[in-house]
Amino acid sequence: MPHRQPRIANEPAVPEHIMSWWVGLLEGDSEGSHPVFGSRLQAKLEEQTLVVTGDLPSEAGRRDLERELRLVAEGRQLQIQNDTTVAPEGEEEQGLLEQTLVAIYDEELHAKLAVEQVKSNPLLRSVRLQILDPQRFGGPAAADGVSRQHVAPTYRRDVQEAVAAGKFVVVATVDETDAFILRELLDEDTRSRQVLVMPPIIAGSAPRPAVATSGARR
Amino acid sequence: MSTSAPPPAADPPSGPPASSAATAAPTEEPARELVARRPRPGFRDILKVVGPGIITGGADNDPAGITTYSVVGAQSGYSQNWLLLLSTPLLIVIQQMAARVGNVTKTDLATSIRIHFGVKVAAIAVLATVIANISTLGADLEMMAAVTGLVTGLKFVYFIVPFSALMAYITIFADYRAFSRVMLWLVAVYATYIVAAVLSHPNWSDALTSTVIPRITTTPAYFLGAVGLLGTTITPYLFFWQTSGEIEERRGVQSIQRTNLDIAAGMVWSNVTAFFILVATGSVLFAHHTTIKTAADAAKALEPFAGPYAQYLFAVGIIGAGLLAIPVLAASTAYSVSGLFGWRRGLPRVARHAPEFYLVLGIALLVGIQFAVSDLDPIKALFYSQVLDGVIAPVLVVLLLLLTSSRKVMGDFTNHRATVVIGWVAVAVLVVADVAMFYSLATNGFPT
Repeated sequence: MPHRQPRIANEPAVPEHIMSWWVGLLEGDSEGSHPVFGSRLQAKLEEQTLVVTGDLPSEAGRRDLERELRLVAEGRQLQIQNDTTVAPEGEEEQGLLEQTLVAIYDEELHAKLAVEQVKSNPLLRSVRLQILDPQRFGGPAAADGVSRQHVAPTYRRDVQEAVAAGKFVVVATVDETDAFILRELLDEDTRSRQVLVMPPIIAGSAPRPAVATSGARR
Repeated sequence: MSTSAPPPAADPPSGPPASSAATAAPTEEPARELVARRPRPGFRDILKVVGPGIITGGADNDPAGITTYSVVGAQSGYSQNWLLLLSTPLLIVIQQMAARVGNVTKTDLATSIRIHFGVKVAAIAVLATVIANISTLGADLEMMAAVTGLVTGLKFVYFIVPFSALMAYITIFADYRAFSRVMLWLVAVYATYIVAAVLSHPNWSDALTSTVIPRITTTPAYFLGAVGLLGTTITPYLFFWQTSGEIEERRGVQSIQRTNLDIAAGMVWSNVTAFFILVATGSVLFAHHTTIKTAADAAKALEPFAGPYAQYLFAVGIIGAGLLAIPVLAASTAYSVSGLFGWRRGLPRVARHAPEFYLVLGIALLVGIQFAVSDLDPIKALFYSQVLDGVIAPVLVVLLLLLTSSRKVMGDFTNHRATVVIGWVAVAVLVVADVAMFYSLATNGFPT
């Protein structure tokens, strides 16, 4: 049953698959760990209290969680006990380096779903996304032109071959500190045929996509 | 960054020179230098890193390692000490390369090999590693059961399934990394080898001279010992585990300095412990012409320190090391197979989210149990599992070198020239040892 999400003014909506996870948890039918925080977050229902523990990677993550819990509790006789802490994952500096990943999909639907998952993940702070569609970019010259805009030289042949073979290619660039999350999402959580990870480069030195689809949230 | 290694097949044969960015201006500094200009770790930062590194290095000496060093010391005295000194920088460099694959590519070693060298090469590398891992796992399990049988007086086979069930539970359902921090203290028992070595009154002049000046005896036993010692030191499952560890801990390129320090501290401590095991067994066992045929024989090296309690101390160390190492062996197997097939993987994932990963892990443990309950002599099983590691290690090291020397894969984070040299020296040492071993066995047969 779709979950209606009452909105606080100017507050972004919580993605449907995350709310479904919370609803499933309350109904005793949870599917594994939280879709965003994974095994870092533990949640269980103790009588009428939803007890949430674990450590979150950032203050922004904590705010997102609080928003989710607020929505979960709406219209239910439910107490929330949020015992999570913020424990940043490392001492790495953001904004220093960025990294581009290229995910290759057989089906356009899978590529589009992957893009949606990337855009809706609150842990991916600022993502530049581009889908290379073989119908628009299938000719050699067009594919070459596009990959020159988006892809480092040593990977262009891989991308051109994929597009020429009728595959859908998602090119995503993130801060290097977020590349682990992006790689895991594209490589393991979506139906990609292959994910190519380009080496990190200085932030801002990568080519900008012609159509910038930024998932920037912060 | 210049490289002297031949590029992998995946690199384009011609075209513009590889650069780290499609439109980088010629004056833009490489990303590596930008990262290097970040504040260097202070003394407290070093302690934070080195402390855990030393503890982890101690854990690298699994039951197979302890037994192999003991067998080598008992049969050759101090004559193989020089291999330990030689292998230390090789091991450090190799583990640092494995870590850097994870730091840069954000993906595990098997996946990187598959993407850049093709499925066939990856399948061969993974298959060889899986065979070595499972034989080591089974031998470790057998030894854990054997030492427990030794101190309890019960048949060792009764302990195999309970130990396996415990480790399966810890790895699959519990938080292995939290558990390992506790178990590491059991492994601190191996520090007693240092005391035992001193109390055994070795000929220090002979022991230290043998550490810096090679002494080679052209016998099958010597070469088997050399390959076993190298295989237990430069051990393939640790390459996969190291890379996966960087990914689980989400350590990117900005952590490379700290990771390198952590690895260096750990590997130095691991080999310092191994050195004192060689000295203790050389003094206590070799000097009295005692070979190691059972767990009780291996425990004798601790008698200068622990007297009649040597067996108990040895058992505690072996059990602790086994409880640490066997989950790593099983998980390393699961990581490499899952990476080969592109399955969801990782210990932080629950079983429902990564069913194939945990299935492989479970199968590895089951096959290990089958191995452990067989009639194989545990000492020989442990020793020869490390010889097998020594045979396959050069193949994995070559693949690591090619990956980490490729600008396509590593960008600005390719190997320094010194790393390339040391890496190829490691390959040469391993290959020469392997060839010498096979030749010696072919001409003289297996030692009795």
